[in-house]
Amino acid sequence: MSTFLQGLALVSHFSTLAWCAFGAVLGIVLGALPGLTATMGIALVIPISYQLDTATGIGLLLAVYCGAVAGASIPAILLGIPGNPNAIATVEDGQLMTRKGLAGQALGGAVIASLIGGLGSEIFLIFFSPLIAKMTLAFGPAEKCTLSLVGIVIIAAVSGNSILKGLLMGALGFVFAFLGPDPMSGAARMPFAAYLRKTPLANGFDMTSTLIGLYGVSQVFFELDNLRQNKKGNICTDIGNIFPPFKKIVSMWKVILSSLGIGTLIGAIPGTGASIAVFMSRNAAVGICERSKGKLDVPGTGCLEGVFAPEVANNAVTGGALIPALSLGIPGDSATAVLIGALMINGVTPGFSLFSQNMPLVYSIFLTLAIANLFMALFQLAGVRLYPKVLLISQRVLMPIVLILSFIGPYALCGSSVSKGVFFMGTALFMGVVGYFMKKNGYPLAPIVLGRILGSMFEEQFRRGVKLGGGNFSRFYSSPICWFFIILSVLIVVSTVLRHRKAKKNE
Amino acid sequence: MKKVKLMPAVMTFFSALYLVYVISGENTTLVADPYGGDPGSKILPLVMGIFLFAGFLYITLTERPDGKHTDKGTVTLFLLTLGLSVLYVVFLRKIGFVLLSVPLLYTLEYVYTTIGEERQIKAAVAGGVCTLAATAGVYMLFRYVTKLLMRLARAGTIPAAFKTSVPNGVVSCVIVVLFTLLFAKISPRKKYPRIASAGVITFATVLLLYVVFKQFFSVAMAPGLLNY
Repeated sequence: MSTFLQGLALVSHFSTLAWCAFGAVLGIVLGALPGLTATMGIALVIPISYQLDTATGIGLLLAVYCGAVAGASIPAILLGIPGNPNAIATVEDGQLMTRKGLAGQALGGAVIASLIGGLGSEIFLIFFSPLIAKMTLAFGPAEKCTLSLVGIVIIAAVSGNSILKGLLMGALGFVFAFLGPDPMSGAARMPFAAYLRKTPLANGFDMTSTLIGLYGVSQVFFELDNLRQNKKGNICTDIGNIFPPFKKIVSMWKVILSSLGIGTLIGAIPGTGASIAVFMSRNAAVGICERSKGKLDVPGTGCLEGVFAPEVANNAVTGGALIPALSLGIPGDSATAVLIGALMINGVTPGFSLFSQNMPLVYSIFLTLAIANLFMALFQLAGVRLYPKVLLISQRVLMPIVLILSFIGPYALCGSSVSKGVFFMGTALFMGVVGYFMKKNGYPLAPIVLGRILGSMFEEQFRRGVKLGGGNFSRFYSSPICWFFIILSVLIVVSTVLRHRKAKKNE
Repeated sequence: MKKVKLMPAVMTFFSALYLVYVISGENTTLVADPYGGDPGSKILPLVMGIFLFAGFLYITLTERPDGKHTDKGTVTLFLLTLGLSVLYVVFLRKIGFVLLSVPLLYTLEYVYTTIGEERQIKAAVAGGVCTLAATAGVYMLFRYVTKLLMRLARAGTIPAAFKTSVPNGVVSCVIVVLFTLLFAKISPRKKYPRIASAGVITFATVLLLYVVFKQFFSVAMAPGLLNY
């Protein structure tokens, strides 16, 4: 109880609430604007979170994450274009409701559903993450090394259409992590070390600059093609009543519970992501509604059930994805991959040590997540009539601002060192260009980020594991946990290759 | 000869360079490693280098170009954005945040918002110069006000809270908002809507970024030429 009170004390400040509120609004706006993603939003606020105390900084990041996931439903309902892939399954019923003149109820319903999903999944997070973290007590260096390999393989498997490209990007992330001082001997390990040794590049590519470059700068370059097309749909501004009937919500309890379960479970499986969860929950909702003997409307007919199911699920993914992220340091999707990086930059290393040594901070994370969800719902409901106007802001106006924010972000991390800041800006620009060309050629970015995050741990644990085995790999092949992770990695690779082959044949 | 995709070919080349670098580098082991066993600093970079080289080479040999080309307009926009970004990073330290952010932001705002329209280059340049002058002027004004408030607070003339940067930041924010409204009011919105909006957005964004990061978070925002 005392640790909970300590955690409560960490977040009981006006500044924490104010930054969570700011993060929720920013997240909703980012989620609402097609082309701006939750991942980019998290990457852009890292420098601000770094300036705040740890609990407040994490609260800000979580608020942006929750807000961006929920905010994506606004363009999905009003424009028929999802703000990001999380709201793909909301488009059909959301648009049909808008055409029926029920845009307000669809938007209001989406907010209530997001709140239920966010808070519901948090119960699972609070219950399961300490248990999973406790399991990692059995992990030595060899197990930790193979676990990080599983993380890379999973994210490579689900990002993009080719597992080889995903794995190559993971390896590239590892190479970025290997540049800089050797973690065991401290020896310089950077090309042109003689020239670079007096620069910040001697320590390798800074993690924040890498994240912001890959997700901020590269996004600006990537959107240039869309800027030339400047697509705009018809935005509905006739919102009407925003609260769906309470009885209707209660009658959908089976849909809500199944979506909550699916969203949390899918979110907790590393690498799966919300886009799978929303379709699964929608399909489950179709089954439930068909069996309800006419009490519930079937999704696909422009009904609240079709908005509730995916919206509960996509916000349930946020809590679910944090289970492996906090307990194992393995992300659920690209947003949580960046979130893990942000947590590490803020001095929080996910895993058992976080739960055993810093429980007040863990409670503060749980509390700020709840606060973030509440603010998300509050501001999205309060601004329901305002957000359609946000959709009128052109990307042509926003992209230069995103670019300058992407430069100032890494720069700001250096505080009073201007020259170091300039190097970090250069890193962000370099990574932005790399990310742009990779993305343009169909190479996913999430594995690079995860490789950069996990690379150092992978190398350190690998070398410790080999050293403990007396210079051989006995620690790896004598551990059943290692075997489990290695077999899991192989199975993921094989199943992904087979799935892609099948998809190609069907084409 | 069959055409190859440029991207994997370039990455194969860089992977080969990385491999050469790893192989030619020194293999260091754990400090105080009397019994041995540490596989050294080269093994994992070597494995990753080989994997990258083999993987990209395989893609280079098996994938063929799809014939899609980025259109000329997008390439021009890309080169303009990249060129301005490089100049921004290279000269930020010498020229300073305010004087360099205005040209970057203003140019991109104007160019992006006038895609597909006829551009009024002369008027745009004049608008850019006006925006730069206005931004630098207001920046110097609130720096003067901030320094004055700090001096008065130290002398005990005004509350001691103004000795710290946050209350001064709030004052600066108010100044920025008021001048943004004034700038928006006097800008020629009817005659040159794109230039006026690019100017106002640039003015407000640059100054607010400065206030937030410098005065609220104490980040040294490269004063450059405006250092006095």
